[in-house]
Amino acid sequence: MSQSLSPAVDPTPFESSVGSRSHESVVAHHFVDAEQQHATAELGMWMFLVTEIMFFGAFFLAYLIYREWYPAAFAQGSHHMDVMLGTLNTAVLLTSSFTMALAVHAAEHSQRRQLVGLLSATFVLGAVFLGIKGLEYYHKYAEQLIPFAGWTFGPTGNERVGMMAFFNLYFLMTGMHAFHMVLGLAMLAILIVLANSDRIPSSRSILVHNVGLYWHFVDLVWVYLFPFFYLVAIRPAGHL
Amino acid sequence: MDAKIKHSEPSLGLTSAVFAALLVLLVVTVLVAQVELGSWNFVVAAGVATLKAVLILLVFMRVYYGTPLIWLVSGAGFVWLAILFNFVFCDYMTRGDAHSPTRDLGVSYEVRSRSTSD
Repeated sequence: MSQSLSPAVDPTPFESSVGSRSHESVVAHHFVDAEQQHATAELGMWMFLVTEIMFFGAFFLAYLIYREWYPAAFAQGSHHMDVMLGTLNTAVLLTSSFTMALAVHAAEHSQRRQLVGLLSATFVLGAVFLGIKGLEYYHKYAEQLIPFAGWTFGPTGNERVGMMAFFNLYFLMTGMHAFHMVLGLAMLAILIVLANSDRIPSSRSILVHNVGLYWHFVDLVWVYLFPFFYLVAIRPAGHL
Repeated sequence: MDAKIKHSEPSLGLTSAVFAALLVLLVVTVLVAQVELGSWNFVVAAGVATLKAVLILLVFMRVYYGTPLIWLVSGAGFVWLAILFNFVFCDYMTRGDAHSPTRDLGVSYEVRSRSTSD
């Protein structure tokens, strides 16, 4: 108690909590021990994710209002979505979340080779997702379904305006989601380099855990985007 | 100080089970979308998505194993989102009939053309 102002804090509790987990000192001086440092970093990441919840939440709010305004146009717009590619992409992203969860486990148990492998698998799956997404964007371009940037917007008739709203929201929300994926891939690349050179001891597994939180959150957003854009209404028979 | 916080984690078995459940729910949501349920299609789709989200939050993101502070902060994020949705929909859903902006435009054009022809 009385020693709290002294710089020479008894190192014993610090060593007892860290010693078994790492050979090097990784606790910054303003933390009591590795556990507190871990909890603090996790809390900080969650604070950021709360702002992300509100950020994407506003998009979903706009989506629901426009869907209420233009139900027929949203149903029609949804029929232009490729459910097969969308389902495949959802499966790819869920799998990448699974490998990410396993990577966190590997980091905590000092399984370096598994860590590098699982992070790489997550990276590849994320890249595959973006590739499929890009292919879908190209199809929308070819079908004249991009309602901005001066391109011709194909659909005519009563639902034209509503379909423009649908596709604007589609590109805005999936585009913002894809942008988050790109940032996630960059963070994964850094983790892979660090893990490969053995610079992520188990005592710093919070690095992997926090990138994992981000990655799972981006997955969570897609879990809503998929049914909201691909599965709005029943399709004509045999027309997935 | 002496009470060391042990951050627990889901077992690999549970993590795998959640992954399998997520894939099953994905198939369910695609299949249910082929069945005509009227407005319940949206309810089912949103419900299944929320179930998947809860699984991801509790197990993959480890909120279930988190400290009370993590529960509080992550929960607060969704409570705030619920407040946003609640107040906005209290407004939009009680405007008599759901106006689309174009329908509003149509009305105002009509009014304007009538007033200019007078």
